[in-house]
Amino acid sequence: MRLPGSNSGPVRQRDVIRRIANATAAILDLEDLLDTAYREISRIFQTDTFFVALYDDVIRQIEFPLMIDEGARTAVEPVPLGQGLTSHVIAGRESLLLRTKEEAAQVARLPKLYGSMKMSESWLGVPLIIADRLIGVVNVQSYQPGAYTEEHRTLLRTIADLLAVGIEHARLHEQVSRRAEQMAVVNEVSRRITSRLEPGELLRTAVELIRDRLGYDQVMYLDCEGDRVTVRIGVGPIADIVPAGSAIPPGAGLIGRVTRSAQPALVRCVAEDPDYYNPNPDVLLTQSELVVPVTIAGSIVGVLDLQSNEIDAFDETDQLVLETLADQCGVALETARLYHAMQTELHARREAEQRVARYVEELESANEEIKQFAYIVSHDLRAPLVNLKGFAAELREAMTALSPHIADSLATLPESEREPVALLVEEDVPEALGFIESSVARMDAFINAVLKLSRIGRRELKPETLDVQAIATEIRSTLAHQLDERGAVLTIHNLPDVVADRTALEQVFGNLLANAVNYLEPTRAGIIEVGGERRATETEYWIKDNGRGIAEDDYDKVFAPFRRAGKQDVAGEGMGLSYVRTMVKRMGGTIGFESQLDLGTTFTFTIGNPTEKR
Amino acid sequence: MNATQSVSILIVEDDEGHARLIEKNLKRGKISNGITHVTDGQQALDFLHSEGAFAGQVRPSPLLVLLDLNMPVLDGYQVLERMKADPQTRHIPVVVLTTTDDAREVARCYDLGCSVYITKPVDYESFCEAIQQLGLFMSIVTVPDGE
Repeated sequence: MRLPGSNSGPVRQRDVIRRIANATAAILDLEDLLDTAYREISRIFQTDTFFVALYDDVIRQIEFPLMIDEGARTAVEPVPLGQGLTSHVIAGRESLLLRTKEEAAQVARLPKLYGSMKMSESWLGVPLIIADRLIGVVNVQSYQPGAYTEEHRTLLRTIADLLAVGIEHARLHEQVSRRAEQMAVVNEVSRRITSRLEPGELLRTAVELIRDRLGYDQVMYLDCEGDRVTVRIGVGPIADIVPAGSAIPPGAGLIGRVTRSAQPALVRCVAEDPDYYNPNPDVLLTQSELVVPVTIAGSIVGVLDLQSNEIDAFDETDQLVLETLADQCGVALETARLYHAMQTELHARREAEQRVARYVEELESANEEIKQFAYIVSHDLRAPLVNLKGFAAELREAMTALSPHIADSLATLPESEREPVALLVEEDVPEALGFIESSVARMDAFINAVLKLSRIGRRELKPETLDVQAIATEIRSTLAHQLDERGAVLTIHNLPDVVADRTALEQVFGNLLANAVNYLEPTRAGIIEVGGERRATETEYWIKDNGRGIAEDDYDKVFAPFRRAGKQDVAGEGMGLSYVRTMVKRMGGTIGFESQLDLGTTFTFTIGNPTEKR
Repeated sequence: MNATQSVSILIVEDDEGHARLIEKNLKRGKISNGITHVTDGQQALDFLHSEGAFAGQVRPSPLLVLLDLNMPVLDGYQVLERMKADPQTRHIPVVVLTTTDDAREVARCYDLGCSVYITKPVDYESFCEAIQQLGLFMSIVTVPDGE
């Protein structure tokens, strides 16, 4: 028991205040701060009982972080705001100085007793107020009546103001360090969930890590799809009550509110929240709940839901932590979705590539077959022709050798038989040989044409910059004789240079110009013109004549091998335009024509420009 | 012309007609001495090495081989390759007779060591000319051989 004495004079009081002020600035741990406060206060106050009460105005509850009864630290359960003296101070936000039990009885009927269970006579409680917010009460009590004066009240008020700042300071510090600690855990959890690429596994990991590393005992993730909310995964007692796959009624409860507002819901006491919905009140003992939305690109895909059977289990820090994790879940889910989309696309692309490779293979094999075919044509079809032609010639030679003998024999024949035999020898046999030989010659020409076509496809092209003007002029000079003969004029307009294979281009121009000359209409003066134009990606040339033209019915025969259109009065095996098209294609171009029967034809072809190397 | 008379000729040709035409024209070119006709590459090698059906026969010398390329059993390329790899047959001149003038084919034959390459023309006159020129060619190549 400490009595007020000479050592509680102004000097001593100033020292105490200074030390408490120092402590509030220096001590960051609430418990240490309160211990120091008690030590210093007890130097100048009788403190048979001393306590600091902290008040939570959200849940209207008073807790006692420090209670000293007759010098001994005593643990006290929190109490709701009630009718006691402390509640009186809290409710009135005014200090309360009582000198006797009787005075106390007038204020509060049932003063609460602690530890020694002895009733104090004197009671002085001062509210802890910071920035107009009441955070608690500091209280001293004495068994002696009238132990505290107005002077004591003033002094304790001064100390309480300091202490309020210190307590707030310590609480903030605690909050900050707890947040830092949680953020470290959040980091780790984030890192671990973002490495998961399967959504189900990812969410399981998230929920389990939130339980294991952050210490929440009931955690759920629920999928939200429009109105439909379904439990994806839960851990803790709630997982048994609301198992995976359970549907939550559309719009119901805090989850409904979160999905509507896209804002988190932090409910310290569910009984006080009108939105709270309990699907199974008999077994679900939730007292507080924290729900945060999980979004991908702004739309809600799910919610993380923490529940506790204790009131006020979650605060803003928990909310911040859970929001951070929800964001991470959103990112991880999106990553997983993109990963799967990419996998699907990759798979599709790989399949497409395989398909293309297969086509290429098939094409190559088809191409090889065509080459093989050309080889067969050249060898195997030609071999019997050699015999046909050779033995026909042998026959012809034999006939020549025989003819004098036959003539002699004929003379010996009777007149009536002479004529048919002479017919056989002089007409039928030579005619037969003639047909055999001309057919062989045609067949040989076809085979050569096929071979030539197949070789064009194989020949390696050597692109170089070509003076097309010069090429066309050169070709015109080779056609000069035919042009003169027909009285035709071939005009060459300005022709752009081009990068192409010389031989191929010469053959294309040569064929097209020869055709233009060959198929002129004899009844009018022939006019042939050649022109060209360089474009961005290709160079175009055209050859225009006023010849006989091509009938529309014959359009599809123009480029087909062995097909010849119109009057068959010009020599040729019908391969020219097939070669031309094959060569134009190989030079990266296209060829087409416009024609009107009896008016003329214009062939237009392009050659791809080389792509810029840069 | 005496020199040409002494040259023996081996025709390796699976097409009986071609062989017959070649033979006829050789005879017209006054090359009628010792013409042997076989129809595949294996028989040709047997002839050259006096084996198989030709066992016990002495290989005539000087000799010229007229070789077709497309044949069963062993084709002309294989015959040519083996002849040129074998010191006993390396010196024998080979004239390749074939139906195509495919540039790659010609090049391959020359690479393998054929002496002359003649395309069998459908144009019979030129074929006769080619074969007869061959007779002339033989008369040139056989002179140093006969000394």
